[in-house]
Amino acid sequence: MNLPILEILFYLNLIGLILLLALFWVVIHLNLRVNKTYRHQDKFLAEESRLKGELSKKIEEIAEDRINEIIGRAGENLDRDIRARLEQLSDLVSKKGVEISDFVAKQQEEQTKESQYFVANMLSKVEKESEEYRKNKLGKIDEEIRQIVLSAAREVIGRAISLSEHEDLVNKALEKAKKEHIFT
Amino acid sequence: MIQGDATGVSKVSLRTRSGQANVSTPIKSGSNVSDVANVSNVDAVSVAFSPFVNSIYNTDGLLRFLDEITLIQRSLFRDKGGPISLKARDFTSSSILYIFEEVEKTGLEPETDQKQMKFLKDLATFVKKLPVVKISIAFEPTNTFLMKLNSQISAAIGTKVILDVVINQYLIGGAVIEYNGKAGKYTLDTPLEEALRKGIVSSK
Repeated sequence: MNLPILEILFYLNLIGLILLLALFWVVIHLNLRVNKTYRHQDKFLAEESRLKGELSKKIEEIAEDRINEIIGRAGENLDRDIRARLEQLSDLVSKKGVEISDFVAKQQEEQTKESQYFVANMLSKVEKESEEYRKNKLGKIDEEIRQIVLSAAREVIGRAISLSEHEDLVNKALEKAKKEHIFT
Repeated sequence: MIQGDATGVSKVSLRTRSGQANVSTPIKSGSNVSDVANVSNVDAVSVAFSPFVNSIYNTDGLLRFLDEITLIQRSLFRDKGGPISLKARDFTSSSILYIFEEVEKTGLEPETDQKQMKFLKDLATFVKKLPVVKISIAFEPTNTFLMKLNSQISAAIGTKVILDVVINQYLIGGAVIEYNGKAGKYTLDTPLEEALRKGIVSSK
């Protein structure tokens, strides 16, 4: 009876050992596989990095080319536009120049007319003022002459008139006053 | 009423304050008895004042006269009897005393101090109210001419006037007369200026 148990134990141990070895083998195998996977991954990452670099460089080149192309095309468009604008501007300037020239000519003509009118008006006014001034001045001179002559006459006549003549003049003044009813 | 003096200048009859004519003017038939009495009293006073008034010709004379009257008023109420000329002899030697003497001879001067004072005050008031005629002339008039002028103007107006004589050396001859808001210029200035104006205008 003991023997089968021992045999069973033995076989069980053997099976266990075999299982353990199998497990050990599996673990080692997996480990190797993992290590291999890691190596592949590192390789892949390096490759990816390289590819990214190349791709980036390529994109830059393409972008640069495209940009240059766009800029070149835009420059051409811009040149064309500017040329067209300049031509329009030139036409406009030319047209405006003619208008301004006409306007200036018209203004000059009006200015000339206004100036002539103004000058004529001023001349008339100045002549009038001059005439008035002359009249006033002459009037003042006349008045001054009259005052001088009157003063001289007063002096001369005053001295020349005797007392009796003065009295006669006063009597005549009285008679005139009576006639003019000053006393009534 | 004195009608003449040594200078030969006739005197002017005075109007009474009531606007009536002088004493020689007959009283109007429509007047009643009291009016007659009042007019007679006023005329008597006017007659008494006439010699005094006729001695004044211009405003200077009027001022001198009023000064004399003031002096004479001081001679009253000094326990001295008699007429004003006697009482005032110690206070003034002016010729006005002779006029008082003349008036006293006619009996028109009152006798008592109080009445004499009233007489003097009335006299001063009367002469102050005399109408004034302003006359501007070019020369200093002689006294004779002034009297004559006063006489003529008073006669023209019909009442005694006082002349306010202004000497204006800028007048050439004649006179400027102003009376009662009216004025007239009767000098040689006007014709002379006219002649000068014409002369200047014609020479243009």
